[in-house]
Amino acid sequence: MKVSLLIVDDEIKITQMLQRHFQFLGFDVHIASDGIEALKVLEQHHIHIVVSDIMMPNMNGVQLLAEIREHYPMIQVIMITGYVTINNALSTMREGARTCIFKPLEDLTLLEDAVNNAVKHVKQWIDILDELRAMKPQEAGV
Amino acid sequence: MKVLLADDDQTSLRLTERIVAKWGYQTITANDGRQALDLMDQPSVPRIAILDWNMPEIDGLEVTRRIKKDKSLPFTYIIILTGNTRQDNMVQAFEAGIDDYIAKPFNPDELRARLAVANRFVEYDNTITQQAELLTRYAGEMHQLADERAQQLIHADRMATLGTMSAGIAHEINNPNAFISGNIQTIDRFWDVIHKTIQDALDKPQSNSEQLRFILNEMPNAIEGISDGVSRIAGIVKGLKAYARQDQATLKPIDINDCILHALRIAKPSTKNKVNIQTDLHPSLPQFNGNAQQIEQVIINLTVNAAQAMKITSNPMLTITTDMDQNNQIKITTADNGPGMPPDVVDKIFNPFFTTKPPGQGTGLGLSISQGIIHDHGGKIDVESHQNTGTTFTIQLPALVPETVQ
Repeated sequence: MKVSLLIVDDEIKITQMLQRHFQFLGFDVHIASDGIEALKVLEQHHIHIVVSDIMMPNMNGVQLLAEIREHYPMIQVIMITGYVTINNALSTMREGARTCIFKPLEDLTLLEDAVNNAVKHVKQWIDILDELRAMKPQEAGV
Repeated sequence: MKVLLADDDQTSLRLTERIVAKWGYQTITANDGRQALDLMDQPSVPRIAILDWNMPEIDGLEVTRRIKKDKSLPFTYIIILTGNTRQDNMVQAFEAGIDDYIAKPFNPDELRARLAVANRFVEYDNTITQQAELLTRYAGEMHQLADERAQQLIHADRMATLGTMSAGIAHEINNPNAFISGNIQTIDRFWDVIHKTIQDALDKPQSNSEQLRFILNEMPNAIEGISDGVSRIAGIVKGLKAYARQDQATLKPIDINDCILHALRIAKPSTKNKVNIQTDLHPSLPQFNGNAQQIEQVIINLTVNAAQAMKITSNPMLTITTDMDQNNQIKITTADNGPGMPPDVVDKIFNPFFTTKPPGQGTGLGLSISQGIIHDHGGKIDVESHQNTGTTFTIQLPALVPETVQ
């Protein structure tokens, strides 16, 4: 299974860079430049993991996070921010982000680890659901 | 009070001198105008002059004019003795600068009364002069204070501006730095694949093998160069963020000695084998209301700086001392035996972005941030440095007064 990633940042150079990086690592990567655009992508594609900036126009990362929690409980969200404040970190934690990683992303392996952990988490659930489907094939289609 | 008496009539002069001296005045006498003027040129100058109007060569009025015109003389109260009190003459005399007159032959009681007035005027003048001197001195001191304050304000303003700007700058730099940094890490991963492919290609006969070998050799260096630049920018951004200090930590009673020991443990990787650190810590230091991390940051900064400064010092030593003074101030000193700094460097070391380290090895923000931290804690940090002897930093922090410890 190819894991699909949605990268959300208003700085196009950052979304491009992360897209390139995670594509190279074997992910299926989508990009969006703000929360609204991200929600549109989520409607059209099956996304496993969202990596989102916090400070963005139209809909910021924390609002996007709340929307995802409400409508896509399975999606794992990782926040990235250059604006490091206790408030930012706390609000992302409160809204259920997996973790918060600070720019300038001097070490991308931090983000990779966070994504890989999220993948593990997602796969675990997919396996459980698959198992359930196998047991009760008539209820397949979750 | 010294009184100058000038009269060309010797009898009259002696007579006046005698009665004036009897009233307790110190007297000096002149036989003519020139002598009178000469007597005005002495250290203890007479403050009252009784001049006869009519004297040969330089008359009383001319003596008056010259005395009043001489700015080097203090105020001199001049009484003119006249035998002729017709109104036009008196106007002329007052215009010349006399303060009073007595018609000859005079009544001693009247002269005594007029001398008393003169005495009063001179005393007023003395008081006024003293006050004026005092005011001038105060004004000078105020001016100097204002100058110093202005300098401090300019400095504070620069710091404040840097503080507010730095949050914005940090954020602005962070984004481009993030994609430079990210891309380079991606390229680094790409490179593993490219490297292997090129290496394989080189095993076959190639026309551009030399160029490919060059790329194989140089690509990692190029990537490292960019990474280096990114790390440097990241370091500056971190320093700027420390300025903005968005996370205003709460203050609590802390033990400065503990802070120092903890800071030394953290600094150990950068100082071991480089400097011999000795501590002389006051055993019963009072507590201090502060942010332990920030105080530790200052100590780490001073310690690491000292270690770097003493790279070529033989037997490098750093002594960290804590002490207490009568004014309830906790004193921390860090004294090294390094090369010291020239005065023009000492003047600038607390300025933001000032560094003596080679490019890329220091942001020039360390001491500036340390100073900011100490000031925020109500303390002060000073430096004393002598070339070839060493540098000593002294930090003073207000101790927590026992009553306020609950």
